[in-house]
Amino acid sequence: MTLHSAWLRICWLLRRNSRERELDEELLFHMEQQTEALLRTGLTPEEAARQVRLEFGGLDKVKEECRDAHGTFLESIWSDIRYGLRTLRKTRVFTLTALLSLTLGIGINTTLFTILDYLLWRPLAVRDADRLYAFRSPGPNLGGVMGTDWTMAFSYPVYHELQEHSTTMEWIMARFMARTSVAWHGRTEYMGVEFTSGNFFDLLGVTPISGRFFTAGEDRDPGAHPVAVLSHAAWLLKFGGDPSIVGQTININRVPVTIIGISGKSFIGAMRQETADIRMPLAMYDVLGKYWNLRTHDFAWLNMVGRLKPGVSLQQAGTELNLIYRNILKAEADSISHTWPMREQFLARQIELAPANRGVIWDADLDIAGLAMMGLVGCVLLIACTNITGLLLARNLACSRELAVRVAVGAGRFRIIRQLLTESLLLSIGGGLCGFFTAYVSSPALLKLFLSAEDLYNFPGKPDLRVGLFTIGVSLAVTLFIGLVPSLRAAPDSVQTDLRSDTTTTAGASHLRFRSALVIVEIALAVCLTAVTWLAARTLHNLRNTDMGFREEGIVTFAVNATLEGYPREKAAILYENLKREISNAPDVRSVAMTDLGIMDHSGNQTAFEAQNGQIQTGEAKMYHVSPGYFRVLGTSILAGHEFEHPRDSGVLVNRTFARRFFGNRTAIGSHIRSTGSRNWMEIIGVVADEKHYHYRENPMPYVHFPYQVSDEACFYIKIAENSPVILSNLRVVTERIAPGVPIRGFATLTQHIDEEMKAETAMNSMLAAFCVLAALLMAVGVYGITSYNVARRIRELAIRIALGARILTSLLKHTALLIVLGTCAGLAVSVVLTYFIRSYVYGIDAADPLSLSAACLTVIVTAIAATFLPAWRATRIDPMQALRLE
Amino acid sequence: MPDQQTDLLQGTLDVLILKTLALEPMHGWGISQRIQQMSSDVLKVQQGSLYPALYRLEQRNWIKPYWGISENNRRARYYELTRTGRKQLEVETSNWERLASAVSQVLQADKAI
Repeated sequence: MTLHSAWLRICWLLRRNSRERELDEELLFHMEQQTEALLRTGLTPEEAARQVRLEFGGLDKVKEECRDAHGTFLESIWSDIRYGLRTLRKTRVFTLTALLSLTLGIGINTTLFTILDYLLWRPLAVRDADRLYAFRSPGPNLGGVMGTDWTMAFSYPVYHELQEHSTTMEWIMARFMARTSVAWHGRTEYMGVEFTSGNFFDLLGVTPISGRFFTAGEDRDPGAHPVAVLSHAAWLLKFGGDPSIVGQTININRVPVTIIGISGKSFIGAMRQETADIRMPLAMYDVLGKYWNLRTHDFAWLNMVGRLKPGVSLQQAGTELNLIYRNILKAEADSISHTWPMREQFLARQIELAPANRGVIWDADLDIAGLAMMGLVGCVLLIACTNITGLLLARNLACSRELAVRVAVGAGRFRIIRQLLTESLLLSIGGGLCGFFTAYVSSPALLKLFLSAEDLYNFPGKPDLRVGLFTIGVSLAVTLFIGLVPSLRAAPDSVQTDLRSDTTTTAGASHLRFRSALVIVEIALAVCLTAVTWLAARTLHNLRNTDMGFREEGIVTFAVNATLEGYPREKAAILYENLKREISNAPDVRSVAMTDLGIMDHSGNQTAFEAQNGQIQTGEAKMYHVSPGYFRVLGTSILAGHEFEHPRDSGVLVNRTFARRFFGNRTAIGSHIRSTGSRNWMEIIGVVADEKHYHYRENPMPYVHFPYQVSDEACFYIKIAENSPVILSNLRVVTERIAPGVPIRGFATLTQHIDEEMKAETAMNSMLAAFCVLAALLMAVGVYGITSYNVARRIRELAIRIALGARILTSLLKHTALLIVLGTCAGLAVSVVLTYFIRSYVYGIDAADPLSLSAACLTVIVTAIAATFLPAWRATRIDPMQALRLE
Repeated sequence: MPDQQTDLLQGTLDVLILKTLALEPMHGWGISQRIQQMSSDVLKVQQGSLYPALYRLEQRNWIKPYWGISENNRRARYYELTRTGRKQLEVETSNWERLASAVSQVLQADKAI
């Protein structure tokens, strides 16, 4: 179709009515002219008119031919659509089944995409996000003895040098997140403050909704500009949403700070997984922080993000930055006078730039997990589509004679394929619309399972353009998937074959083969999905039920941090000791213990240790400081020796893994260990069972427990007589009385605390289970469909056999049984491969866990047999006389 | 004299229309009259096939329609030749001549035998 003719066609279509009028007028003019000419030859008017009509033939036929000559492509699409709608209306059960499966299939895909896109994939709503890069630099820190991960890799002097000298980066910004104590209107609360370099807001190119942002000038002199910007969520949820807060003063770690602005609703900073309540200039950390400042060289605490200058390649920037970086590293390494074993590794550190267009995401596994989930819901949709493909095939087969007739009267093969595809398109558009609506309704509700109220706050609550495009893409893919094969197979190659052949035999057999293949695919997909679900379910069960090393029942926990409110550590320690005593005297409290780093708070200092066991053995271990009676309160068993009994006890306790790794079969009690670099050897006075202190997913790792003396934060564990809300509120009152104005977090039972930690994982599991049920149901529909078709196809034969007294049930089940066996085997094989990719998520079992895999097969087989049985059983009740008469 | 009139060969109508329009723009009825006239009443255009042919030629961008006023002061749809139409006429003319001479050659050979 040339441009010109396409244009004419479109004009015709758009100006349809006027074009028709013009054609009428033109023909009328011709007829009148002709009539007049005939009148001139002496004919009577009636005779002339008759003659003209005769010459013209049918006027409508002429008009039709004129329209045809103008091309009918667009019009025929319109007629295809109308024809398609008519057919779909006629086969109502089919249409409803197809629409329902597509709605569910596209709906869950869109919902999951909405959630994952929001959590992970959406680009940051900032200027030129695609030129943002995160800096990482793995390797040992200055003077350090261990490697660092990349989350915190730079000291302030390094940041400053890079920002000053880089010519390939437009800006580089640095940030650090700290938990602070915020006092406002007589309340004291923990809040997350993100300390950012002064160019932060400029770099990201965002504007405040109220007030202003701080500038690079306010980040120059340490402590000079006590200003803060509130995040939109914190402003609404923690500061009451009053616009007059701008200009007011709040106390952060006892330092008066002026609120100068509020950032926009969609602004989440440059970190995807950390939400800040407040942002302050980095220079203020000199005043608010305690242990290091902007001049500290040997503490790498900053994350860096930079924007590439336009036209500069990533490689150029990397080369230039590393050139600067090498000089910095050299100078820093030279500043260490004593021999330092990690020096070479330190000098070999490199800056790596990672794209940060959607913000910095530390956990690369999240992407894989997200894609895996999308793949699984994709499977559900695939099963739904396969069902519809089967149904369409059957439908087209039923009307294959009609199609053959249409070819016989001149319809092109392409034309028929197009018309059948239009129908699939209508179905998937319908399913897409309903699916989008489903996502619209369900995604905010589902997101609640994953996120806290604060994080949820930023969620727009509904799918947007990106999600819409995703849905459209999926719907189009669905169209091709469900429509292409059936229409290609249905469109007859030549007229004769289809008109002559008996469709119930030859075509039916090939049709049955094809549909059988589809059902095998469905069963295989269902097995895969069910296998993953079983694995996930067993993993969750293991996580929740394996021995955590402590008993969570009847324990209440909370944490306070007085040092944020200006207490020196020694004074804070006295306060915590008082608090502990007061709480232990409270009614219904059995015993109290505390530690410096809370259970499952993802915190644990790790360092290298040396043990004296004949020779010197080194290795890394996590360190926790625990009060006397800690293991008694938490119910952790003491395997050897004893735990700390008095605040002044010396020595250390190690866990079983430590003892085994450092001492093997020899006894650890009485041996000595020290942290590498320290001079003091400490005696091991006890060995305790392994506990999961750091994270619920952790594998047993070496722990060293020191006696609790001082710490910034103290985490309390209180064994109570019985669980009741009254006790919780009583304890809070006691705490607020003893430690007024000190921030408190997490007053909850230990069980609640762990459940909250596992929230996302539990939510993921429930969703998986729902997908799995859906997949199994859809698969059952497919199996049911093919068995029914098989019965209908063989009805004559079955009737005869019944009449002769044969038992037909087994023969009918045999066909489906073969499909089930083949599908299950294929699914099992694929599942085994799949488990390799999800092995890091599986906990406490083999990735190819035989129990989960066999449970999956069993689930699918039972479902499929149940779906087979109904139509097969109905077939046995056929009345032979009636069936034969019908044929 | 119906036996003296010849039905048009398929495809020849197009070239005749183009030829007619090469002389001057014309409306549909005029085209049919002109063809009949120029062929001394031998060729008679089927009214029913004229208009689809016109629409087809328009579709191919060989002729272009416009509304004009006829000799008896009526609004009529006129057609004129486009540039590509003029080129097409040359091509079709030479094609026709080759075909006609070939056919007559065959027919004359038949006569010689």
